[in-house]
Amino acid sequence: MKDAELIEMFWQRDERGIAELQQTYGSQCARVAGNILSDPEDVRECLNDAYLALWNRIPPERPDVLPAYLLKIVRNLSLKRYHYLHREKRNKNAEIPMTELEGVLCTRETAEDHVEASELSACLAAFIRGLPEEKRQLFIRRYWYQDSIEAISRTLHLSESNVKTTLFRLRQQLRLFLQKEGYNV
Amino acid sequence: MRKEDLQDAFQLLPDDLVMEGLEERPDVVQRNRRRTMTRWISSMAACLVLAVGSILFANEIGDRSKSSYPEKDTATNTSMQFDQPGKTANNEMPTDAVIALPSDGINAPGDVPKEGESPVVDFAEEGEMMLADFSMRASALALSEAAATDRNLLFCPEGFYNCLAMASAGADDDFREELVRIMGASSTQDLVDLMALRTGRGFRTDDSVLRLGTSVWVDDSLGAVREDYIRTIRQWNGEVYHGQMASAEMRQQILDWVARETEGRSTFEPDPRSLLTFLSTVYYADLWEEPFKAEGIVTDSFVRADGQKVQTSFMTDMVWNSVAWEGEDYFRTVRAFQNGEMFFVLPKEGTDLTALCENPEVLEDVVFGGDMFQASVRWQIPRFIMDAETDYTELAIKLGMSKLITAESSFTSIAEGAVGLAGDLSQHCYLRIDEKGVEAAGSTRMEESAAHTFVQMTLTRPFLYGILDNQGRIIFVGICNDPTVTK
Repeated sequence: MKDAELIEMFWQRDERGIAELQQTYGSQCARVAGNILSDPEDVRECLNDAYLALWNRIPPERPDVLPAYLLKIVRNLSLKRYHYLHREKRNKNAEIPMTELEGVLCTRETAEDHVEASELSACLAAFIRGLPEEKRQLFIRRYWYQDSIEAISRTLHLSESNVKTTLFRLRQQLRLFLQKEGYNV
Repeated sequence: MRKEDLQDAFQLLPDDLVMEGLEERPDVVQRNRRRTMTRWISSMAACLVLAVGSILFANEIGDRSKSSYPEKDTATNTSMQFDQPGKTANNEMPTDAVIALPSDGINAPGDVPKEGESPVVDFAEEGEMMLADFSMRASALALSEAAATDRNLLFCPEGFYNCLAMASAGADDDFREELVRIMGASSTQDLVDLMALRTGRGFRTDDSVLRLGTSVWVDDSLGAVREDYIRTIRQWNGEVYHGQMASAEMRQQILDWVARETEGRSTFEPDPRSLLTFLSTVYYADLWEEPFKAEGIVTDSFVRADGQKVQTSFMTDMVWNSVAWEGEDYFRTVRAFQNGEMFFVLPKEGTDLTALCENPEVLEDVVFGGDMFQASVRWQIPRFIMDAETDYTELAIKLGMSKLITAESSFTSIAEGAVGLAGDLSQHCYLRIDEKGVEAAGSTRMEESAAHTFVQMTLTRPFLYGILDNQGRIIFVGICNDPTVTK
């Protein structure tokens, strides 16, 4: 089913829209949530919350790119759940890929370092857009979708070692890029 | 920056970028399939063999031109043997000078990779990245300089790195920090861990061998070698020796050690002034998967960078259904060994070699990048030998080793008296490529001696001068108050 039709079903408050949405984008949503949360039960709850959130937002909203819109909700809810579990040390063994990026960029965490998320996001987007296609894919898969090294390696047919090497360099490049843009990293 | 800010920023990434992570890219996948197979081999080639050629070396260089490849005895199907032309009659280390650690750095027979397996052990990822980054930085510097001066060059970044790792493990404070930073590590322990993991990379099969060696040589005048340092070096099977460094016996021991580690292919003149010498060696030999046939050996012209033509011997053949990569200024393709591969990069007409190695990013693209395409390759490779020593002290300083030649490099973690030393870095490399395969060896040494005294002779104010004849008699004497006037 096309995205426009799905959105229309939501606007019509047709509950079959949720089932259709699940069928169309369920696996991608599970991928994002599953990469962040290790417990299948947490994943399932998170996806249900995401579908409910989407149901509550549409209408009045009419997203331009439905899957990106949905996945952002899934990612946001999954990260919130992850941090809740992590903070409570209920899942202390889990390390998400975002952590390795934070390790490079967030070394001096002070209140003065607070930056506007939208500005930083624009900066990140500029950095990502400037990357060659393959590295761009790699970066997004790792740090937005939180894909594992093994999954990226399998999907892109790169050796795991190659993926790690490239990510290491990308983190260093991003650090330099942000420093040049005036960020305190 | 706070973690929350970063997370929020990621959450706000534009939709089109988010969607990229959902897309399947068959073109990227196809390109990478092939690259995955060849990448480790290219890495090895980058570490072992980075040759810039514009002046073709003579095909025969005395006795050292004699082939030392493993010769397969087809009649009896026995394993390859390696002759050792440079090996001395008495190749064993005299025991009186040895503190510890005989080790050949070669995997035990049971560790030899099985057919189809990569012989390279996947060592610590961060370490691999550190080495890869360093290799590109150092190689770009070395190659660009050679290319700019139309010289031949063979550089072994891996040997260079190992040598610096040994030095950093014994260096004091500032110098250690400098070395660690240059090598991309966060601490000396990183380098020790990396070295420990990487010494397992050596292998020997019927057709090929990779051998890595490290040793430290300490003059008795510096005092006893500290046990901690010996233990550290032992972690990667390195060897530690001490004795009278200026003595002919000790210098011969150094040469014997290098000969043993490089199958006699690498040699140099040890500096008698050295009080502390770090030595690392890399030896690699392999046979072509498809050897060139005798009837494919032809004589043809090679056009040097200065436009002059020289006649030399080439190996020729045709390989169907191979692959090649094209970049903006180059073509690159590979030819397989039994256990490795060698890459060759040919600049496009009108492109100078210098442009291909002017910086690490460009060099990385040249070695690993480009658009892959299916191609049949008509090979014409010159048979040549490289056998040269290069001083890399200046390169080391350009890399950031500002304290190398000053009296600020101390190694009291190695021996109490190792203070205020000044060092230099050199590398001897050997490469032979012919119809059977390739043999390459490199020995890198960092020799630390008593600090030099520097005098700044900047004649920017009035000065006195004179000319002495060969008997020391003054035949002219003068004063220069103003170099712009003749009277």
